[in-house]
Amino acid sequence: MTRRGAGLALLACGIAGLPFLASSAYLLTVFNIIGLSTIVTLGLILLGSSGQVSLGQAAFYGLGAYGSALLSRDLGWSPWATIAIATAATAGVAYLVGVPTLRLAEHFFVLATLGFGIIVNVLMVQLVDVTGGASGLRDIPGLRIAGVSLAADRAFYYLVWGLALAALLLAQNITSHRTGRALRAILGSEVGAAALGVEVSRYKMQVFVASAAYAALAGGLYAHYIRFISPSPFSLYASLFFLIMAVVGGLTNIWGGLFGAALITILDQVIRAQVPRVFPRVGGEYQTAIYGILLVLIMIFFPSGIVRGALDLGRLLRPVGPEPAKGGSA
Amino acid sequence: MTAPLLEVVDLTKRFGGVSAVDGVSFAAAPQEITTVIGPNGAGKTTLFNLITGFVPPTSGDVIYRGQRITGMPAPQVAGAGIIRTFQNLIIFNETTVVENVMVGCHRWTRTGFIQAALALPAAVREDRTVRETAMAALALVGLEGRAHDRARDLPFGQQRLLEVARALVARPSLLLLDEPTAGLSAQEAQHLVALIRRLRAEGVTFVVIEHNMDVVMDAADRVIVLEYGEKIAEGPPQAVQRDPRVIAAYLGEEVPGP
Amino acid sequence: MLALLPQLLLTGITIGSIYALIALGFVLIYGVTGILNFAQGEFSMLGALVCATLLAWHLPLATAALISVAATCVLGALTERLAVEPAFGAHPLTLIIITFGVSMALRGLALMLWGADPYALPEFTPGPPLVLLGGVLVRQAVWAIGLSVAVVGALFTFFVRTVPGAAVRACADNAFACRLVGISPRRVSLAAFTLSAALGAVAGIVITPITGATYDMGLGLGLKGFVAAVIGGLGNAPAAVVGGYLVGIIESLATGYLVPGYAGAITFLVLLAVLFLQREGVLHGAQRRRA
Repeated sequence: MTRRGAGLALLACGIAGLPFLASSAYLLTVFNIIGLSTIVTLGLILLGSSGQVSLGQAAFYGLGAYGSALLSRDLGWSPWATIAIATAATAGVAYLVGVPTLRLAEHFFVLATLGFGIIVNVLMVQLVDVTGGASGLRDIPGLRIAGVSLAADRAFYYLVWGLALAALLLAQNITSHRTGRALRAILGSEVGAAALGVEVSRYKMQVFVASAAYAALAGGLYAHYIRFISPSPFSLYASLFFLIMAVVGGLTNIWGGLFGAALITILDQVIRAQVPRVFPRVGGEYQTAIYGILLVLIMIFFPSGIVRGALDLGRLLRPVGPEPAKGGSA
Repeated sequence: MTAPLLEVVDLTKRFGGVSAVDGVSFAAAPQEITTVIGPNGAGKTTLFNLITGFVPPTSGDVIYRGQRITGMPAPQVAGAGIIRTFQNLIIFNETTVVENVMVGCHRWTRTGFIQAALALPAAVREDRTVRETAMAALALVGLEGRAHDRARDLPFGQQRLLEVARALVARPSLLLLDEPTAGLSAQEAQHLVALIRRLRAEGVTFVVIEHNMDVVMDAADRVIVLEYGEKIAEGPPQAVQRDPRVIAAYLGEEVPGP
Repeated sequence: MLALLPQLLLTGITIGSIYALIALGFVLIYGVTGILNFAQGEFSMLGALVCATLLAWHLPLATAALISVAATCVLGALTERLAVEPAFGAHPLTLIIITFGVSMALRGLALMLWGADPYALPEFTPGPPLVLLGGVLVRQAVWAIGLSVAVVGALFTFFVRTVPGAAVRACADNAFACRLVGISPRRVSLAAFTLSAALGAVAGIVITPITGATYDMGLGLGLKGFVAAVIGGLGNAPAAVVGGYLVGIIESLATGYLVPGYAGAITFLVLLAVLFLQREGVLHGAQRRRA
């Protein structure tokens, strides 16, 4: 078994065993949120490996959630099917969005995704007849398998983490081999990559659609877990949140996605619990200050993410063996 | 007389009112080494950009192996076997030296997203082949000892060699080198010229933009001279060197008009 | 329906003059450093809120305004030194995220210091509104438009007709040549951020008597100012100013004629339309890096 394969197996075992160590409903919910966030963040990192940043992931997350919720609630279709359909449909939307936006230079692409995200969010609020507006959608059916409900925290935990690990594996593979090298070439220089025959537009589109699919899948799962959705988890703040998770883990580092999602989710829980004690009169998204500073510090001092940054600091001697390239060996 | 590998026919590029390249025509026969020279701003790099699909021409044609490739997107041009390097050197900074070179194998390898995502055995085998090819190319240019260093840590001269190695593994039929000896020592430049000759013997055709006259005189079969976007001379190196129009272009004297 | 038009246009021009100032701030920083400063809107927010606080401490309006602008300039300089300069030469991805981080940090800090409530500033010259061309223009709006025009004029004079201004423009074109003649690109970068902060602060202070100031006003202002700058192609200051007025008018018309909730989305649709209609190819974008 390869070193990476062993690592993955170990991780899978750890994840499988965790609910037995920490079984309170609160903790399981946190772990489930981390699982969902990991999937979204992995998509962002896939996108990041080609040198692009999206500030509209929450929109794809929301399209997956609303799509699946509406199809299952109003048409009575099985949530399994609706999650798949919503994911595919959102991927289609991403393709359409990608055609005009992917040819823009980095700065402009970010802004286009930002604009897209805000427009989608506005539509979620304004199209009251369809989406229920700001009050959201209730009574979303839960997931069932062979008659057993998966809405319970522990059951859902295994579902979401199984999918998260699969998503991790797929992303890891895509960023290895020829495709990974091509993506990293695009990250380094689109012109240089094109000059070697890398079909830059096609690769950028593929990872963009993949990142949207990842987010939509997570959104669909979210909808059938919480069974209530509203526009607020799909706002610009949510997109920034996912970005921070990706950045913390290392914007091009697949394994960092899990680490970043976990760290930020836990950090957020801690902040929400502790900050009101220090600043009692503050309401609203005060965490943004902390996250903003965190973002700046990480991008300056650990642009490859905290994990890799720590490893780099420790590596004072020249490497003696083959250095694993970002995102996995080639 | 064999059919030319590359034919450039009346190629023109205008930016606003300025003609960067104006009605340039030439042909490169298989395994020929053509050098393009001219004062700065003569349009040499723009010519390369036009041929390789990075800039669409205003008019004119580029014909490769008898097929019209005018305006074809850059990745496709490269996919057809025309590989170019850049005047200002483009290195993928965030990866290792050997990974840089491995990207060069992209055009003749096949693993797509699905195969990669599923980590199919063919993809893994391909990786091995690509890595071996890359290491061999690095050995050829003398960089195998630095294969696992970060590409951006290399000194400039070695980065140039890295770029050449990367172009090599792409198995080009036509190699367009943009000032490959700039920044190289005399010894490194000689090494490069020897490499070019060797590759030519193995079937590669070259078009090289050069400023270094020693290299031009030594390596070129034919020289093309551009000035203000126009071709003002063409021929064997010795003849071009004595051409009064060429001398005037470099020294800035006025040439009596036609 | 049509009766609304003059009023909407006047409102649009008023707010447009603010967007014009913010757009100029974007263009200034982008032109000199190649960076899109996503924290631009926050400069306006800080200028306004600091002014409001100084006013609450009983300083006269003019003094409070001047100090606020100065304080925001200091903050702009600090942003450049602490967040932008250390990432000199980094991948554009990194810089984008950094300026976003700064914007979030400033917003969060504002929330902690000032809370979520709106703050007010008095009109510069109190008095009844003017009735003009079928619409009503509050006096403060005249200040907004007037100041905006004055500032824009002063900037153009500086950049086009003075030697230091020409030096800055030259630096924007070619940082290497700049260094050769003894001008430090990093100094120019610092100056650009400081000046942009001033522009933002002025915009924030002059519009607050009309719209009020909150901790999150920067986000909307910044995004719309950005749309305006993009309309002008980001390199073109006069076009950015025109863009500002355009965005203001479009937004005003949208608010007046459409369901208000959609007005925000309209601005972004404009942004997307402008982005897609521009001919920014890959090569062009890729060459736009900090020297």
